[in-house]
Parts: sequence; structure tokens; C-alpha cells
Amino acid sequence: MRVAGGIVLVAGLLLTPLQGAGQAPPSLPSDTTPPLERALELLGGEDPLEARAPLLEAVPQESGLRRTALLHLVSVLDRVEGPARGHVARAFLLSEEGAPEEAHEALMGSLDEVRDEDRVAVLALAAFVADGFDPARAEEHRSWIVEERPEALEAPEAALLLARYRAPRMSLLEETAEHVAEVLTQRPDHPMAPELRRELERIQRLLQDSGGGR
Amino acid sequence: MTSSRPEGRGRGAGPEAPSGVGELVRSVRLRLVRTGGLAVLSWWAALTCAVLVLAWFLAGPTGWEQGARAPLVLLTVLILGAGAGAIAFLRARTGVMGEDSVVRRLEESRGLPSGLLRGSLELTREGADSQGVRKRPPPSPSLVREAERAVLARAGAAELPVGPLELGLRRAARWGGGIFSAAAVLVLVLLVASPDRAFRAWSGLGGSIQLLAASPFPPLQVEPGSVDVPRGDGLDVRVTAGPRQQVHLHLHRAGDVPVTDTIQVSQGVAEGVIGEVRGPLEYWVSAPDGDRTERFSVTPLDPVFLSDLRVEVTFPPHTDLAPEEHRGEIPPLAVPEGSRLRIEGTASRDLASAALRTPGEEGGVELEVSQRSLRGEWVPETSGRYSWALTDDEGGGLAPEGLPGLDLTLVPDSVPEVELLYPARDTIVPLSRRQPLMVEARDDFGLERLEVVAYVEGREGDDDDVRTSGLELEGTRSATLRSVLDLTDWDLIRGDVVRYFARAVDNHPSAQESRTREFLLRVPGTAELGSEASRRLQEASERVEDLAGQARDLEEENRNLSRQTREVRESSGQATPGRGRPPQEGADEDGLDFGTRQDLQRSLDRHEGMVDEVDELRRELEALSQELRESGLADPDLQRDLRELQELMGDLASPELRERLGELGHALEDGDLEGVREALQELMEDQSRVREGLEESLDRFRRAAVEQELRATEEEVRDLAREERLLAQNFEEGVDPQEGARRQEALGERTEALEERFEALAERMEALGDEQAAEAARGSAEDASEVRSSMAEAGAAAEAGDLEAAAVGAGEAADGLEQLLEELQDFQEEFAEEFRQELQRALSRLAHDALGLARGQAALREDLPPGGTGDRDDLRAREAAVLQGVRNLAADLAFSTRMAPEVSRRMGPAIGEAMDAVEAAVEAMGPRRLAGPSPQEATARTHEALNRVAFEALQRAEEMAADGPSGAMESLLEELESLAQEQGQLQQEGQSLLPMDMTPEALMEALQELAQGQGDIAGGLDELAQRPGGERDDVLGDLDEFAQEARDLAQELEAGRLDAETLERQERLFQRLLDAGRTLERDEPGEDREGTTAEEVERPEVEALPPELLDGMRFRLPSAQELEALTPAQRRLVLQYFERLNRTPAGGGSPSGGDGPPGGGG
Repeated sequence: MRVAGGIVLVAGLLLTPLQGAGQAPPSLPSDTTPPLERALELLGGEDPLEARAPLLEAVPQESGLRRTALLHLVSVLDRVEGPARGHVARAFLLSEEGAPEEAHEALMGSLDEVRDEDRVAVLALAAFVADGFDPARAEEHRSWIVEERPEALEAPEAALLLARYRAPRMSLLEETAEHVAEVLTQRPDHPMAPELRRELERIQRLLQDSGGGR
Repeated sequence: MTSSRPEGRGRGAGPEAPSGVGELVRSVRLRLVRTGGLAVLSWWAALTCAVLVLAWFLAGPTGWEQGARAPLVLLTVLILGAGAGAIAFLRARTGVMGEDSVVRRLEESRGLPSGLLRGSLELTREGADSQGVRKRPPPSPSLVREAERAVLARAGAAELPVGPLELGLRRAARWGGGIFSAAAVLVLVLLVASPDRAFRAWSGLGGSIQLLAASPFPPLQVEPGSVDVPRGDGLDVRVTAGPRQQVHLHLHRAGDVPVTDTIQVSQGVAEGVIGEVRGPLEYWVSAPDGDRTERFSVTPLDPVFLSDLRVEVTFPPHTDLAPEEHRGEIPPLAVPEGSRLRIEGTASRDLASAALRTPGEEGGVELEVSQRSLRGEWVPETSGRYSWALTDDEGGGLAPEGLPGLDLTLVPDSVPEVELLYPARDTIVPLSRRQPLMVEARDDFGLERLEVVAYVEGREGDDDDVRTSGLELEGTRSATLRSVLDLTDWDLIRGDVVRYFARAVDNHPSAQESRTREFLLRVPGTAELGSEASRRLQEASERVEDLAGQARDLEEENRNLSRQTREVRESSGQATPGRGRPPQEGADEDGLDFGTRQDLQRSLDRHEGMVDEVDELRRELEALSQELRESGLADPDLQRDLRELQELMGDLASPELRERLGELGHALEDGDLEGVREALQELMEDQSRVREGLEESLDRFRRAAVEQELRATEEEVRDLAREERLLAQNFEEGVDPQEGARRQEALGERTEALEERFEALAERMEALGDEQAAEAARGSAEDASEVRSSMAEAGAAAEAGDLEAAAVGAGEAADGLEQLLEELQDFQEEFAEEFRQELQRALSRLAHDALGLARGQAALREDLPPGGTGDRDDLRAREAAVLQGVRNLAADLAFSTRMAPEVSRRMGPAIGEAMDAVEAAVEAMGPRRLAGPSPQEATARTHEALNRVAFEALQRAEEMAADGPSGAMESLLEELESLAQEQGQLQQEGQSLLPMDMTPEALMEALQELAQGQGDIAGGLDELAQRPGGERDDVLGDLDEFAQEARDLAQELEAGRLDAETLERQERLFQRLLDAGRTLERDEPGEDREGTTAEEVERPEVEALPPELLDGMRFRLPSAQELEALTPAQRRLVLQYFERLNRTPAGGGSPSGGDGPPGGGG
């Protein structure tokens, strides 16, 4: 399925090697000095947030999904606090080193340590990491997010990806529809809400076609 | 012998000889008696007439008064006269007219021998006595007879007078008769002349005894007495009659019989009426008791007519009034004092005199008369009703017919009125130190000058410090002076009071003057300046709220109009010109009916009004910002707020919107229905944007006002804390208790006001939705209340003379205020930090959502069928959903950054680009096209565009975390502004030290503090000068130089030198720092340059350049040589200035309102 393929691709974003950056994208300012090494070094340091500035400096030198991945990392580092930052940074470094499973484990292992409000962000990141090697784990994480924290910032995208993952497999469609509806109720004006509505309609059509469930 | 009497002969016969001697004697005696009787009688009659005449005169016209004695005297004289006459007659009859006397007088008068006649007579009586009794024998009769004959013969006729006696009697009788006749004539004359008077006088003689008794009633009094009345008028007669019950009013008209009317007396007064007086008449009043008044005459006056009456009024020169002329009946005149009246007229008969008189004859004017004409000039001095007083040649008064007189009111020249319309109250010196004034003055006849006099309290003795400015009005009756009291060069320090008043002088020769009361302008402290700024911001927020309401209404109105226009268009078929249906009834050729056209025009006008209002608001904010800077209140946060709000207002009143309004106006004028529809549609979109912008800015305004109020409140608390601490020290040092109590009370009042400010702050924070902050503000209000309690205790203790307790109370209050100050500072920081964090969270969320969309784009790109084949409808629908998602993202951004429009603006291009990219992707996934990017390329661009949105959001968030949304230059400028503010405060404190009478030690201590502050500023400038980066090069002036000057000043102060020169240097440094802070008027956040790969582009038709562009620049740019003389920053400012000038449309408009360079960009 194309959609499923898309998800796999997205899930593997964080695994994409960052070295060998291509040409600077035309729409962002370019800087000849590569700051990524400095950023990776700072991510391994005491305060990973110090890597924020060099990471942003590095962004213009990347493109496409790699750029998205760097920005995502900065975004998550901004939102989480305390130990979560360190775990996120370490997971990123592990991914960078080509060890997504360890990265995933690191993130999952940190869930008990991180603040409750940071847990969804860490779990959502873990889901993205898991997309690359174990989509079912990713589905599991996202399912938890939409079920337990439908109001969370990550919930709409999690719901969308969950729906797109489950729809081709005709699995748990009814439950998924409920979760999507719940998320839409929570965030009706979210930027992903239009896509969520589309997916909800699609699931409902599938449910009708299949006689109300799988 | 019996004697015979020839009686028959003696009677009736002529003079004949008597028959005997006896006969002769008897005859003579009889004649004498008759003559004597006649004389007595005639003299008595003459006496009677004389008495009557005398009585007539003595009684007077009113008759005898009760109690008069004269009638009795006259009566007595009359009776005595009668008695004397009778006695004299009787005695004469037996005396001089007795027989013996007569015989003897006969003998004498006839020459007879004495005794002859006697003897003869005796002979005839011999023999008989008187009774005829014979006593002796009679002589012979014949002898007797013979003797008689002889005697008779000798005696002659009996008629012969008997000597002087008879002649005297005859003479007396003649004289008596003559006198009587004359007196009788006189009596008759008097009787005829005044029968009543004669009757009253002569009847009084009869009742003279009765008259002797005194009257029981007072005399009658009559009003008005003899009068002249206009012919035809009646006359009211009033009689004061005392206790009488009635009186008689007698009226005697000429040629008529007298008539009498009885009038009843009521309360001592009787009132009668004499009817129309057509001719002369007399009246009098009598009473039953006999009292009677004199006769009064009533003379009718014939009217005189005045024709060609003309009154010319010449007004005093200063009134500048043209002369007036009145003819005929003169209306009531109200003329200024000093007016001259020229009166001319012609009477209907010759006049002896003419005048205008007041009733009291106190004033008026005597006019010159010549025959019938009268004239005169007069400068009246009193107001009043002047009546005509005319007399004719006979001296009689004339009543002018139909001329009511002259009702004259002299209007004194009033003093001018002067009123201060603005500010009309004591207030504080404005931030700009330029106080606008509006003074209105008016005068009845003209103003000579209107001026404002101002001086600084305490310096009024020095003429140089009393400033007067005003207008020479040259007789204008009213004037409004709009002026600005410029205090910028007055060397004012905090606490100074400027007193001023307006004065108006009129053009009266005496130059009357009036003035307003003295108003006060107090030089405010920092706290007051801040409060003023807060108040104006609050007002601005209220205006924005109002504007937003207007915008909503307009939007709705536009929607309706758009619908109407569409319906008209559809019904008229204008979409297909020439083939549509004919216009509706009542519609123009363009299909718009009058009502719709009017509605459109009205809507257009309202739009323009609203845009103007928004623009005006922007200018006000700009002015406020400028004033704050000039007053030294260059708080960087406030300045940033104001700048952002100005920019926002500038965006809302954009040239594009005005252009849209212009298009709609043109389309309406041209009757271009299609143009109207399109312009209206575009206007609706703009309108919606304006409304949203206003609504979004509302919270920003409110927040800026709250933040400013917080800053101002902080200053106030700081002031209060300092003064309270000082007071506590004064209590300890033994200040006068009463003075201390008074100061404590004043501080308590300020603290009470502080409580109210906190309460108001709480409400405003609630309006902002910040309940937590509102609660904190209420807590501060309670703290302030506690502080006030301590102050009250301190004040009470001071009143009681317990300075120790007062010091403790004041110390506690000062502690409380200092604690409150700390809390307030923390609260401000938290308030700002919370805002910053909220914004950061919003940006982070935005970045996250954008990244989610970006990942979605990447996935969609992967799902695209390879080689551009296959059904892409589903994917296109997904892309369309993404497009909606990006719109949601934009809406979220707008809402989240409504309090930080600069952030919103800087994010705007990225969002716009993303939207464009998604739209292009949607299009690319549509039906196969020959041109344009492929779906893969389009989604790739969309992906990058969304990445950029996230990137921008994260960048902005980083800036917020660093120090707000500003960059390094912004930060530098703000720090410069902050230092400038500190420098300004330092200078003001220095100024305030000069006039204070301080001990040398205290002065040195204060100067050390100032030196410390000046040193801090020098350090701050050093730090800025050494800061890495090129921003300092853009600052006007040399930061190193500023720092050196600050250091030098600090040294001067440290050495105890504070004089005018030091203050001037401080002022100069302050101004240079301010200028430096304004160096870069914050360039608009420029978009980074981007390079793009070549692609298919639509080639729009190139239109001709507007003619104005071909005219070249209206203002030539400075030459390169000229520009070289400037620093880079100055060059840029100059170039920007010229650019703005040249962008301004030739027809006017705001310099900032120009469009961007046509065809530029890209």
C-alpha cells in the first residue's frame, strides 16, 4: 500500500544518516560552516539544549526529510525538560550511529524518569524510531497516545498515522475511528484536522463496506 | 278857642303859607324828622352793605371756617350801627328837632326877633293847655290871628330851610344814600360774581354764633387739585375726609349747571371720578358739616403732534458700530454708554420749549426750538424712560400725541470674558513639555489683546521668568487662541509648578481687562509620566475596541451590499453585455438602483472614515512614543510595544486598502457594476483582515497599557517607599509633629490611590484573561491597605506628639512599601516571562504542527504514482486537505501571536509561501498540464516550505528565549534607550539638588550617589561599545566617546562639582544617547534572499508604466559627494527619507503610505 509505504518512509527519517549533506536548499540561508559536528558534540554534553543553536544553523545545509528530522529534534528538545532532553539527545545520537533499536530502547527506558508532561513527546519520538524496524511497536505507541492523551500535541499526527497504518490492514478500524473522532473533538482546528476527517471518512466507508467491522 | 288846622291845605297843596305858627313849626319839624330819619337810615344801609362786602372778602372762596369770629364781629357792628342810628335819631327828634329848637332855629333862620315866633305860638295856645283846658282867659282871637299873620308873614314859607341843621341833615341823607347806593351796587356785583361765595359769606353772618363753635372734623383735602389733563381723559378725585361718612363732589363744567355727586367715605377716603374732560371745569368738595374745599380747575390739554421725529445714534468709536437712525416711533433703545443722540423733529404747532425728561426731572435734555421745529444733541448719562415735555407759547404743557417718549437703556461696556477651554484644570506638564492651550475670549465691542501669562512658582519676581504670549486682536469681538505653552527650555525640574492664566483686554478707552484664575501645571515625576502613558494606551485600546466594532458592522454591511450587487448583476444580465435583460425599474443604466448606489457610497464613506481613524490612531501612538522619549521615559519595553502597535495600525490602514476604496469609488462613479462587484469583493477581504487585525491587536493594546501601568505603579511605589523612609528618619530626628503628621497624611492618600490602582489593574488583567495576575494585583492592593494602616498609626502618633511611635509606624510602612516594590518587580517579571513563555510554547507548537504537515507531504510524495501516471484524485484530495491544514496553521499563528504582531509578521512570509506551495501542489495534481511543476516537484517544494515554517517558528522561539523578539541590534538600541533614560533621570535628580538648601555634607553625599549612577552609565556604555558585532557601527555617534563623557561627568560629580555647566553636559549626553537610540528606526524584517531554480512562469502582460514614474523622482537624491560626508547610518536615514518622500503620491497622503516600488521585488 502506498500509504503504508509512506509511513515506513517517515518512520525511518531519524535513521537517515545526516552526514553527506546535499546542497543548501534554495529557500533557506546557507552557511558554509558546517555546524552539525558541533551540534552532535553538544547533544552528548551535559545540557543537550546547548545544541539547539548549532542544530538550527545546520538546518539550512540539509534538505527534505533530513531537514525535517533536525527541526523535529529541536522542537522536541524545546518542549521537554530535565532528563527527557538527555534521553532524546542520546536516542538521536544512537540513531545517528545506526542503532535505531537501541535508540528506541533508550527512549522507552526513559519513560519512567521523564516528567509526565514530557512522556507523550518521548513516546511519539519512540514511535517514529520504531517505524523503521518495528511498525507494530510504533502502532502500539501511537495507540496509547490517542487513547490516553487525545488532547496532547502529538495526538493528531499519531491518530493520522495510526489510521493510515491500520486502514489497509483492516485492523481495529472501529476503535481507530473512535480515537480519530475523539482527537477531532479535542482539536477541531488543528492543522491536521482536515486530513484526519478524510481518514475518518475513509475508515467509515471501509467499515460500511465490510459490514460494520472487520 | 279852638284852633283849626288847615290840614286840607297843608297837604297836597304846593308851597303854601301855613295857616298858623303852630302849623309852621309842625311842618318844619316834620320835615326835619323825615330828613334826619332818612339820613340815619341811609347810613345804616350803607353800613350794612359795607359789612356784606367785608364779609365776602373775609369769608374767602371756601366760606367761613368753623370757629371764625369775624362774622360775629361784623354782625355786632351792624347791630351797633343800627342802635346808634336809632338813638341818635330819637334824641335829635326831641333835641335839635324839638319844638323849641325848631322855633328858635326858625326865628334865627327867618330873621325874626327872638321870641316872636315863640310868643306867637304861645298866644295860639293861651287858654288851653295841652289838653285844651283853658287856664286863663284867651286873648282875643283876632288879635291872635293878626299876630299870627304878622309873624307868618315875616317868617315866610314853611318850606324854607331852617338853617344849617336842616341843610346838614339833608346833606347827611344825600351822602348816606349815595354811599348806600354804591355799596349796594358792589354787593350786587359780588353777589353776581360769586353767588355761592356771597351766600357762604353772608349766611355765615346769620350763623355767626354757630360758626364760633370749633369743627369736629378735619378739613377736607382733595387730590389732585387743579390740574391739566389731556382732553377727553377722565380724572380721579381723591378726598381725604376724616371720619365723615360722605362728602359731596361738586362739578361745574363751563356753560353748564353745577352738578353734585355724593361719595361715600370709606376708611377716611372718598374717591370720585370726573368723566371725560372736554372743556374747562371746576370741582370742589363739601361736607355735610359745612366744610368745603376751594374750587379747583381742570383744564383740558389739547395734544400736539410731532412729525419727522428722527433720532440718530452715534456710537462711541471703540464700538466700531455704524450710526443708527430711527424715525417716527422710536423703539426702546439700548445703546452703549457714551453714545451720542441727535434728535430732530417738527411739532404740529409752535413750541416755546421742548425737552425730554425723566419722571423725576433728574436727567434729560433741553432741546432747541424754533417755531415748530425742535433739535438737540445729547449724550445721555442715565437709563430711563424719558417723556416729552413740550410747552406752547402760552406756557401750557402739551401732551405729544402718539409719542410714548424715549425708552433708553445705557449699556455699560462690559469687561471682556475669557475662559480657558483646554485643559481647563490643574494638571501635569505633558510628556512633551508642550502644553496645548485653548483660550476663548469675547467682548461686547471688541478685544484688543488676548494673551497667556505663565511663570514658574517661586520665580515670579524675576521678569525674565514671566512669559507672555498672545495675539493682538484689533477689535475682534471673540477669539479663540490655540496655543502651545512650550516649557521645553524652562529648566523645569520635578516638583516645579508652572502657573499660568489667560488675560483679555478690550478696546474700551480704559482698556478693561479680565483674566482667568491661575491654573497650575505640575512637572510630573516618573510615576506620573508613566501613568499618563498608561492612560493614553488604555484610551487607545478603547478606540481600537470601538474600531473593531465598526469593522464588524462594515463587514456585515459589505456582505449585504455584495449580495445586492450580485443580484442586480444577475437580474440585469450585465455579465453578458448587450444581451442581458433591460435594467430594473428605477435603476440606472448600469443596473444599480439609487438606493443601492447610496448604500454603496455610504459604506465607502464609512470605510474611509474608519481607515482614517486607524491612521490617526497610528499617528497618536507615534506622538506618544516621541513624547515619552523626549521626556526621558524611554522605557524600552514600552517603546517596543508602541512601535509594534504603530506598525500594526500602519498595516491596517494600508495603502492597498485605500487603493481598494479608491477603486470602489471610481467604479461607483463610472457606473461600472462589474467593477463595483469586484472592488467590493476585494474590499470585503481587506475588511475582514482589518477587523481581524483590530480584534487581535485589542489584547495587545490592553496588555501594553497594563504593562505600562505596572511600570508606572512600580515607580509610584518606589517614590512612596523612599519618601516614607525619609519621613521615618525625620520622625527619629525630631521633625515638627504637626508637619510630620501632615506629610504622613499626604503619603497615606497616595497609598490609598495606589490601592485603587491595584484594584483597577486587577480588573484589566481579568479582561486579559489572566486570573492569576489579577489575583496577585488584588493581593498587592491588600498589602497597600496594610501599609496605609501603618501610615495611619504613624500619623496618629505624630498628631499626639509621640514621635517615637510615629517613627516606628512610618518605618513599618516603609518596610511594607519596599516589600511591595519587590513583589511588584517580581510580579512584572513573571508577567512578562509568562507572556514570553506562552509565546514560545505557541511557536514550538506551530513548529511541531508544521513538521507534521511536512512529514505528511513527504509521505504523499512517496505515494505519488511513478512517472506521473495513474489516478491522482485521491492524492489531490489529500493535498487539498493539507492546504486546509496550512490555513488552520496560519489561523493558529495569528491567534497565538496576536500579542506579538512582530512575530506574526515575521512568520507571515513563510506561512504564505507554504500556502502558495500547497496550492501549487494541488494544481499540479490536477488534470495533466503541459506547463508547471510536476506533482513530485510541487510536493517537494511544499515539504521545504513547511520545513521553513517550522524553522522560522523555532528561530523566533529562540529569540523570545534570548531577549524578546529583537535581534542583536534591537537589543543594543534598547539598552541604549535604557541608558538614555537613566541619564535623563540622573540629570533631573541633579537639577533637583541645585535649589535645595542642603548642608555641605548632605550635598556631598547626594553627589556621590549621582556620581555612582553616572559611573554605572559609563560602564554600561563601555560594555555596549565593546560588544562584538557590527551593530555599533550603525549607531549615531561614537559609543566610546559617550562612555568617556559619562566617565568625565562621574568624576566631576565625585569631586563635588555640580553646576550649570555639569548639568548642561549631562543634558547633552542625554540627548545624544536618545538620538543614538533612535538611530535605526528598526528596519522592517527583511526576507532572506532566496535562489530558486528556473521554472515555468506565467508571463503577465506588461502594462505601461504609470506616467508619474516617467516623470522621475520628485525629490532629487543627494549627490554621492554629499552622501560621503555622512556616516553609514546617517546615509541610510537620509536615503530612506527621500525614498519615503518620493513614494508619497503627489496629491498628498502620508509619506509612509506609499506603495512599494512598482514592479519591484521578486
